[in-house]
Amino acid sequence: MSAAGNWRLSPQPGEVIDRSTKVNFTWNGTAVSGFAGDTIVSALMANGEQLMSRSFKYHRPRGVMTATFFDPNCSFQVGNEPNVRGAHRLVKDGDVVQAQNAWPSLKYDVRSANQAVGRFLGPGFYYKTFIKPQPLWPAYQKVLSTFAPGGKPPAIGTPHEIFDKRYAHPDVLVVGAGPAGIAAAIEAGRAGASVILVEEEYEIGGHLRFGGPAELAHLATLRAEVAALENVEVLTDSVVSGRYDDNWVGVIQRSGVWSKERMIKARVGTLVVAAGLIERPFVFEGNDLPGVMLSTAALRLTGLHAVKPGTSAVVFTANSTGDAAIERLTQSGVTIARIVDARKGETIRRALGRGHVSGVELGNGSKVQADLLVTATGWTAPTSLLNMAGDRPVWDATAARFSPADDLPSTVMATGGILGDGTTEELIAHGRAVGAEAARRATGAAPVEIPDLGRDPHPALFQSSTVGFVDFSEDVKNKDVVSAAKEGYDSSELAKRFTTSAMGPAQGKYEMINTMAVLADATNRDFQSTGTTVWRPPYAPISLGALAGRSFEPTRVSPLQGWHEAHGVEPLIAGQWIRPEHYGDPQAEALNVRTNVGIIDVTPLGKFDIQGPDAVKLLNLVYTNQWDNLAIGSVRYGVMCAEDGVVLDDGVTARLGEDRYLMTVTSSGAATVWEWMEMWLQTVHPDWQVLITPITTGMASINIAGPNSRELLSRITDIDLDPQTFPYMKVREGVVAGVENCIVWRIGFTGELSYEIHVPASYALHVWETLIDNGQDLGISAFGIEAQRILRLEKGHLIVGQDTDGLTQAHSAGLGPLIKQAKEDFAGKQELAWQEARDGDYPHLVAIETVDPALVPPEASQIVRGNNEIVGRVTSSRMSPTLRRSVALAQVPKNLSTPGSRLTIVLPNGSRAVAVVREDLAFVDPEGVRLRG
Amino acid sequence: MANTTPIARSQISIVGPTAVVDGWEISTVTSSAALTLRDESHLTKVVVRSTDGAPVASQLPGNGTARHVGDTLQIGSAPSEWYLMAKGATTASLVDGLDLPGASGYAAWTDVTHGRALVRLTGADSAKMLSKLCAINLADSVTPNGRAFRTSIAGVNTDIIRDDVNTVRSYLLHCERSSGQYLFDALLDAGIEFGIEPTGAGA
Repeated sequence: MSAAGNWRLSPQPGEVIDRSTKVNFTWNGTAVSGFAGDTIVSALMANGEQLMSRSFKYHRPRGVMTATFFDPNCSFQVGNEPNVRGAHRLVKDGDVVQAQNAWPSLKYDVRSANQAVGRFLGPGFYYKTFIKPQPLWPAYQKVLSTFAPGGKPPAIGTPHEIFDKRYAHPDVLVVGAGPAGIAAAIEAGRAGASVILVEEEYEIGGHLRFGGPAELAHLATLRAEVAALENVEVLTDSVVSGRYDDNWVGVIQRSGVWSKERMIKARVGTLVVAAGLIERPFVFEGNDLPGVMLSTAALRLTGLHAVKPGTSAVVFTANSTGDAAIERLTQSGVTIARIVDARKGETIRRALGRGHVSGVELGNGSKVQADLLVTATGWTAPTSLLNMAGDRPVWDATAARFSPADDLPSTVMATGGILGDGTTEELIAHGRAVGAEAARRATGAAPVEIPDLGRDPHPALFQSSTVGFVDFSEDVKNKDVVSAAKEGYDSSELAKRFTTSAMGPAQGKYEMINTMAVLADATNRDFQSTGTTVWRPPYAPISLGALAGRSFEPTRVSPLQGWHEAHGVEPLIAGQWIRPEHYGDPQAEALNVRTNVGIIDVTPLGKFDIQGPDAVKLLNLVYTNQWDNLAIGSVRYGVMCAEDGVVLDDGVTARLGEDRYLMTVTSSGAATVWEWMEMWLQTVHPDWQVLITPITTGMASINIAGPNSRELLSRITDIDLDPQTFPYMKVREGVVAGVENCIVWRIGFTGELSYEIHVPASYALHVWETLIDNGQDLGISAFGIEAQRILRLEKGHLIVGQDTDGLTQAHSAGLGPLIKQAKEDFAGKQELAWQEARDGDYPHLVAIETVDPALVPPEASQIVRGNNEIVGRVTSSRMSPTLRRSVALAQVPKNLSTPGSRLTIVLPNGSRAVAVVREDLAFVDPEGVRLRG
Repeated sequence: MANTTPIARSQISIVGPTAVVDGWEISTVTSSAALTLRDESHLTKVVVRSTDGAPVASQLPGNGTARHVGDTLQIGSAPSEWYLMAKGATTASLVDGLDLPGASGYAAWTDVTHGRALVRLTGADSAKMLSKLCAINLADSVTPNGRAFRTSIAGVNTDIIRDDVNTVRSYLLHCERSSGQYLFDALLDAGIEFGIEPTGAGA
């Protein structure tokens, strides 16, 4: 029904709309208006719109049923956001709201023809129908997926809003801000506890908000009390999604924060569950027609949004809330056509009408004309959070609902309707006592006596004699549950999964009890023995954005990053580090190093300040070679192996003083090496007097490489660079470019004459720019990691992790000369002794040249022999600008490692290339003349 | 040798006017926002480590606590590890008087002035803001003024010291220099809803 006219009531005492602020939006393309504070649904109903959606399977017309977040009939597409809960979401000016799951229009949906074949679409229809023939399943899937309900997600690439997160550690967290929940928060706050009060609605108050004058008076008092407490944080439009071990509680803030949504990860002292009760629908024929709604929905619409839900109503009531709805509807100008009082044994049989309620058939067969049918037939206790804390609720047949068992952990308490019934005063008193006790448990104050909160008797009302829906989200009827039981799915867990009842967006809040009641009837069991399924997190649907939260991906950059970016660097992402890969032409950069001079930022190189009289013991332990005789001012290359002899890392270490060493390791291995050394010191040799301090980024590292490097450096330092006094593999401390405390190493990874300067990082840019300024006439240019890799490959220097892998023992990496078995001990000693004893029967690292010099076999290309037996791989390969031919390193077996051996390499296109093993690993300057010059 | 005048620069880039103070380029931007973030990387910083039983342990604050001694902030940052910080000090002056050689145990210090990015977050909302990035309980009862701890801030291994300024809640945060800009940006981003503004060390 879409009825023109004004469905807006005169101002109501508890209304939440702001009549002075009009909101304009569109509904399926038609301009509509409402007021600020309206939900989408209340604004639509105020404009006479009753048809909100089409159902999942049968595409039946649906209207407002619960007027809450979980209303199964009110999910909309709002702009590019699908599945917006329209009975909860406040409408905004400019919103473009569209119905979902209907074509070509909401009013005329061709798929509603499904109703005609509904008898064939019972539970298990898809499983049974499409299981054979199996090869056709992809085709079935393609067709069936077009029937999937829901809105359209935004296109990939659509700019998204921000979701973030927060941590909290409240002494007390109260779930639900009805009278008991607010009272609990107030009392816990007054006891000095830090409190978070979480409310799903936009305002606190629970059912008091749409109550009468007495309830509103209580609400005003409670709101004033809670507002006066600075230590009580109130989160509205927020939901507790789950309770986990050690009272870890997830809270989703849907609004009220600067981001779209926020997840709060709260570690709670005492969790107070005051989630109230959820009104339960009644199962009867036509119970899903627009115009059928719960009594609380009628109270919400009239009391909060001043919307008249119909003109003539039948009210089927079994409790005081139904009675209150009668009173409120009467006050709102709705004619009460008939009161059907379940407490007197009266009932209803079916709702009449097509597309909207036009009347009601009562239990005695008489019919009453009405456009509104309100039911107040019972309550469901939302015990999810208590279940998650280990509670197994028990069925209270007198009250016709589950209640918490007395088995909660001491850190979880319950109050309010979820626990029992009472007057507003009694609920508040109970909440106050629980709040005080919750604070005591969290903070250690004196125990508090908690009054009893009994449950009122209530008729057990679940279904009438007709066929109706038990699950509105999934279009499951009571007869479907009976069918499931007959087919043998007679346990609650099986029946749920077979029928999909309680598996929709509301996750059983409206459906579970009725489903189980029908199942109990069908199987001749009582309710307790039938039981329910287990409630698991999340309590409410959570957006993926909220779960993902803010994306933190730390990055690390050198102090020269700004210079690199200003000079057109191509960045290399290496773990967290962002490094300069090249500045446009890595081949030219490499060639310039061979002919002139280049500088490279190698700051990420791992660096450790090692001090102490036992430092040399540590070096001897973690390196395979000998460190006893390293003189002050000297540098030595070393290799670290794990205890299985596998190469762990490598680098050079300088002796700076009597008991002081500066160790360098690979950039990617820095963290591992630190842990490795600390492991030895803390677990095996805690008595050693040696201390390790990582200083990787405290010292920026600049490598100057090329034949002009000495000349360049001499222009900006007072350190004597004469090759006689400062030869290869030595280290000096001094002033560079006016910067004190620099360390200059005479080492090189590129095979060229080179110096590596370690500069206090804050002066790195100054030193770098000084080098650039002073090197112009020497042909200076910056070079990146790619050029460095070309150069080191030309020189035959291995890279740990590139030319080795997780199985490469030191002898396989050609590091045999560095393994000093004569030492007393070192990590990997025994394994390496065993490897050595294998007389070369292990993989070997070799340099290879392809027969076709222009062919660069990709790294990781397989090396095969015979009938495609894989025997090795190419570990590194590049085109050498110096030699103008490809150069490569490879791991091969012993019998293919001798110089002159011919290898067969499989290329990505499947073709084969032939390469020859070289005599030496170094392609350029194997004698090291340039390096040592 | 080239005639040069070195200027020290923080890892955290500066927006706005600058000045050179004690050889450091620092920001002179002034903010009166209720929540501010200031780069204090130019403070002289030393880390002292010792083996068990070293006498220096009795001269410095216990693990997890910090204290001001004159102009120096001494921080017990981990078992047998301390950071000492002061503005404009020499590294030698920071460790002056400490029993580093020791009769038993061993202790040593390393200058980390250039290796640690250091920022100060100040304002009543600083704990709320940090709770967006950090899982530690920042309540006064757990982390009062003078408490030091090490945790993850936005995924960065960070040392935090609660160091209130004139009774206003304030935190010093320091991390490896290379992550300094990332940390600074993450803090500014988290502080948007609280009206955070960067302020200069030279303000």
